Amino acid sequence: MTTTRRHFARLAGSIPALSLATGMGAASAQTARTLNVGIVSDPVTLDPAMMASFFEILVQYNIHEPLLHLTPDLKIEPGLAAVEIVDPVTYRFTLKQGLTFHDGTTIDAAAAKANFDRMLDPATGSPRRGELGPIDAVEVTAPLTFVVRFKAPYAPFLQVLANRAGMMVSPAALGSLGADFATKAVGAGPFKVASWTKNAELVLERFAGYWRSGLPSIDRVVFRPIADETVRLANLRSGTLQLVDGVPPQSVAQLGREANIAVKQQPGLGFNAFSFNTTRGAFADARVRRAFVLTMDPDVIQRVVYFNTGAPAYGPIPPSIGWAHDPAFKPNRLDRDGARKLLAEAGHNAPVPVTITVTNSPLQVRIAEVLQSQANQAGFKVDIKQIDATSLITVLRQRDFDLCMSPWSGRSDPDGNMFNYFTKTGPNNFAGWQSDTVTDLLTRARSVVDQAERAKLYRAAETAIAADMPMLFVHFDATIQASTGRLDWTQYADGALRLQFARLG
Amino acid sequence: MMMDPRTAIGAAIVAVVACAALGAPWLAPHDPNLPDFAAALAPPGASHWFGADDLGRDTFSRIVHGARASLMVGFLSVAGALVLGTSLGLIAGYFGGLADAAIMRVMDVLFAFPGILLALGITAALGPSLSNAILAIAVVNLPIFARLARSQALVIRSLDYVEARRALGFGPLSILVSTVLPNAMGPIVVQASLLFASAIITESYLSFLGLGVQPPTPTWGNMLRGAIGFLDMSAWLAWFPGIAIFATVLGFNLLGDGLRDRLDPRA
Repeated sequence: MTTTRRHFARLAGSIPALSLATGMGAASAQTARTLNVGIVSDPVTLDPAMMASFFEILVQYNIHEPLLHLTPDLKIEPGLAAVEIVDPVTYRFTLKQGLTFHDGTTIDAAAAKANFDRMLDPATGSPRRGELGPIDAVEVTAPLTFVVRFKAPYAPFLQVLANRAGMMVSPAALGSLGADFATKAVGAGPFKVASWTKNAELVLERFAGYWRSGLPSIDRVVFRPIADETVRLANLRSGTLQLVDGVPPQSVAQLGREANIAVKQQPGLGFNAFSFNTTRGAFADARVRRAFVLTMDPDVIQRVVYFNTGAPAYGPIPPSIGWAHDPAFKPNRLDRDGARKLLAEAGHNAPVPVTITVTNSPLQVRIAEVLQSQANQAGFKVDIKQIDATSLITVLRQRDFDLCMSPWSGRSDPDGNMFNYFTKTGPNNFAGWQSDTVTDLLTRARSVVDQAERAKLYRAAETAIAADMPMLFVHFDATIQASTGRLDWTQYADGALRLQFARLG
Repeated sequence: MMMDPRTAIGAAIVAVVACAALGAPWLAPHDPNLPDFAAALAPPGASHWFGADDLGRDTFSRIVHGARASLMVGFLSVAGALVLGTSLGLIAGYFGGLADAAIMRVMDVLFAFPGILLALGITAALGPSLSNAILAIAVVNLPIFARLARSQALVIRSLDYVEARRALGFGPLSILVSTVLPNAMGPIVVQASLLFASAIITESYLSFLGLGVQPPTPTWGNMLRGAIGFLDMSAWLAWFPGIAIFATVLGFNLLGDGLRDRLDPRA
């Protein structure tokens, strides 16, 4: 009897360990307020200074805390620090008292300066360096106070600090972890990294020292990358996942009818667009680009591909950035005769052969097929070329395309949607478009502080872009996510999850 | 000669698929590539027998046109692998020595890769297209024919009738073509009919992954790919190409089994 009981006890004790070892951790996942989140793809790095992938957006705010916080309606609030604008080129930050990073080291002005210095050091190779703008110096003025001085006014600065560039990491951990920091990041966010098995699960645990006292209420968050949208949704329905990102537009209506599942959607910050190659081939001629745009019926894509989620796009500024978006701005509509006329002007008498390059994402292939059928009716002969998702960035950078998808996740400031794409040396100027006018407008818009004045400059830039069409704007995608009905959470336009505010009922 | 009922079923299915492929332009009630956005996701009915896909294209028309891609890929890739693989295998088996060692080591290298992985690698390297898919599947099947032909040649070369031809003064090339080849063909034809089925499946994999025939040209594989986002609401989009692949592969396998019973001396 004793032996049996002891044997049983040992057996029972081994069950959680066993289920963890098999990878799903199903037994432990259901205990103690664990939230399982289905994401499309793993993050590449957990170091905010080096993040450059869309897929890190879902994870980043849970591990890291920015100096400033962006509200759901895109307002800036204090985060780790409060900010005071001393003059257009001087910002004074005051950090909250008694805060620590996940490793217990103090968050003070010296640590903040170390973070800025690291991002600004060209040797780091951080994408944040460009985002931070023309910073002259970061000076520590008191243990918890520092000042950032600019060489010229830089309007997007506070929005930038509410994103990756404002995320403070532990300088001590940077030193001790070295290259491992990318996988074991130590920040100041609501959760700390417990373990990360690439392409299987990223496990976060509640950080007791988080600055918003009492939060988070969830103990563990497990991010599971599941590329297939059907599989993600199946796991949500079965209860294996409680929250999923990347709900396809066609599933919104069906999910909405299901009990125990809540779908949330709102206008996103980015755009789905295609870059024309303005450096070679037929699309080097602006008339051919404009002709192609005129063959497209934005409403068909809105209805057939997007099932009336989101909104048709005519430029890079989405409706969610209300102060800069112009709802009346619709420079193009379906005009097949106009397209044929432009092609004739450009000297094309036979159908113009062009190739649309997309990844094998079903949604993008669908868009390419709609564009193909529409353009073929008005003077083009379109081929579709599918590439794998990992080659996309290479194809774009080498300009090995005629027209290639180049969607953007978006930023809360129009600068983040335009400067990199439309200035002459912008890193996302895949079109190879050289416009002095637009480069000048976008550079000026960075240094003007008055929002109404900035809006005018962005609209002028948008009009100049539409006149020459380096990109084909297709759609402002909605951010669509779904959860179990017992999860209370707030959705943000950028699609990022800020799970410190989430509650599991 | 009575046909085994299973073979007859196989032959009938293959005949139906072949007729669909050859007669596609006349059988298809709609242009398979022309979207009709008003009919998007229409369920099976009078105007669209198998329903319409997400862009409003007629599924029945796409299925019969898809048969062309499947059969063309199956036929050309298997025929290519058969001609080249059999030639290499016969040479290796008949002559032996250095030729045998050189040819068969190359075949061993090809064999070392799992078929689908090799096909993926080739199409990824050469770029996705119908011709590259055919080439990739042919390369995957090449060593199968080479090994089979070699083993046949090894047996046949020492048989009395070959010795007799040699004694009569015929050259090796003449003996290979006129004596060894015809006697080796039985198992090779059986193998070809079975590989035809697997070539159709491999083409579906490649098209499913976007590495085969490019849109809007329909293949059963890319139709399945397009259907996965709509399994909840319009499951028939996946049924029909799935059934087409299943039935065709079943047909070729039944036919291949029947041929084996008749032609393969070991069976």
